Amino acid sequence: MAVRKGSGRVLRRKIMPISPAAVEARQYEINRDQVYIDGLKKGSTDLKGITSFEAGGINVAQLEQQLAVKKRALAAFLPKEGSGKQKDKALKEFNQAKAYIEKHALTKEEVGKWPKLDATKNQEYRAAVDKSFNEEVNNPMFRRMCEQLKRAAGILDPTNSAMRNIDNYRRQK
Amino acid sequence: MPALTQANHPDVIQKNLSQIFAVRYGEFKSMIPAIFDVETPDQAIVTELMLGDLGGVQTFDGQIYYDESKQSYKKTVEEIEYSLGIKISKKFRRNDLYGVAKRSAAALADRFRAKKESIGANFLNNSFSTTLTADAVSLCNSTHTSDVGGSSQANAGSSSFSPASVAATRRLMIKYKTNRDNIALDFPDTLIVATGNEDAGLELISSVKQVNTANNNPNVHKGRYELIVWHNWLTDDDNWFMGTKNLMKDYFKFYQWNPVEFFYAGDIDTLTSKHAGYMSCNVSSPDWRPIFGHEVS
Repeated sequence: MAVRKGSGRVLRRKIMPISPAAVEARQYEINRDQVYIDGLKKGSTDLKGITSFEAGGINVAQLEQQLAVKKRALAAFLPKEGSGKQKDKALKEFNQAKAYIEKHALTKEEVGKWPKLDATKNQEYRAAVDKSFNEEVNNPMFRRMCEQLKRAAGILDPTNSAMRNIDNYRRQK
Repeated sequence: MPALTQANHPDVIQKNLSQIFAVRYGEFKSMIPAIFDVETPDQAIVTELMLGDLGGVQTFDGQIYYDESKQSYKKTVEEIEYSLGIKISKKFRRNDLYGVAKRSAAALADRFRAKKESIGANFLNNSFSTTLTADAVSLCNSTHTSDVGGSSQANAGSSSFSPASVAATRRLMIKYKTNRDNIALDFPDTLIVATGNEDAGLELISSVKQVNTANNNPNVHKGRYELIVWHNWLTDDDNWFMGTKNLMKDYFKFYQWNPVEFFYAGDIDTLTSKHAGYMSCNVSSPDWRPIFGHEVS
């Protein structure tokens, strides 16, 4: 768990699972780094012997340490499909967050509002900006609910990007 | 015994591959300078330190009130090395009627360009998870704390890209406080999006009039932001960022210990020439204030 020490307090926060696209990108990087490190350890890397970067001059232990950090990070941030009990709990949290988001998020119509020169006509846009500021961008509860929804979606269906997408829970009007 | 030299083995070394590498490498337009300040460190480990802000200026009533800046959070950035190479045999080179060796050198340059872009873009791709600032939380986070007396602030949201959410995000960023809760002096002026939001971004910042409606009203967003579209390397099409250029240049560092270099050498025993690229770099930011990120999905 992410732990931060500061002014004598220790804060524990829930880890936010990353999106399926991010998982894929990270896994690719880890695999590639692993191949490189394996090559260095065996001494069979194609690069060995070339001026100024002999394999012996590379701190393999440090590279392994960095790779281990990447692996741990991926493991920690990887959305994991839950057990039946966990899914039941996640479903409740998902529905709670979804209800909040549906109620407070800008509607699809408001998302499409553009600024207008005419003050009277501009009201709708101003209202959308105010709502976006108060209910979404500067609303800690909205942020928490979005995180809750994404976390719960990760437990219910880790590979489903659409389920995590906040836009899918905006009402039409 | 005289040393084996390139002059004595001209066919083993294909010098012009380095030129092909250099030309190809230079053709690419990188987004890194648009977002990061590229710096060459003089130590393998760089320590980034946040300083506490000063207090407010006091009225002069015959004496000067002194204040002192305190050290705030710090973090370290380590050099990471990258390399990739190709080997070409003498026989292959002699029979290479289609310029495969040259194309391989160009491909090697492409891979290095791609790697650098990837390192830079992952700074943003991972900004909601593993890209950490000096306060030990992710770059875009709901709870950035201060250890010098300021209150906690947030720079992460979940709103999709729209005129209203851009305006609301700008409003929030303008309200950012320093780490001692003073008014911040820099305002957001940059939008960073992936390919998926390119058209919407261009429409937002470039269109003179409001689009998509019969109303012919001026677009107040026009010219307010610089749009940075990082094709391919920003992995999530929906996520977008608003930044403050001044602060990005102050804090977002692309440390380049060793710029991309092209090496070549001949192995006389196997009559094979080796061609490799090498670089060492890393990215980091001690402060979160240069940016606000929206993780939509």
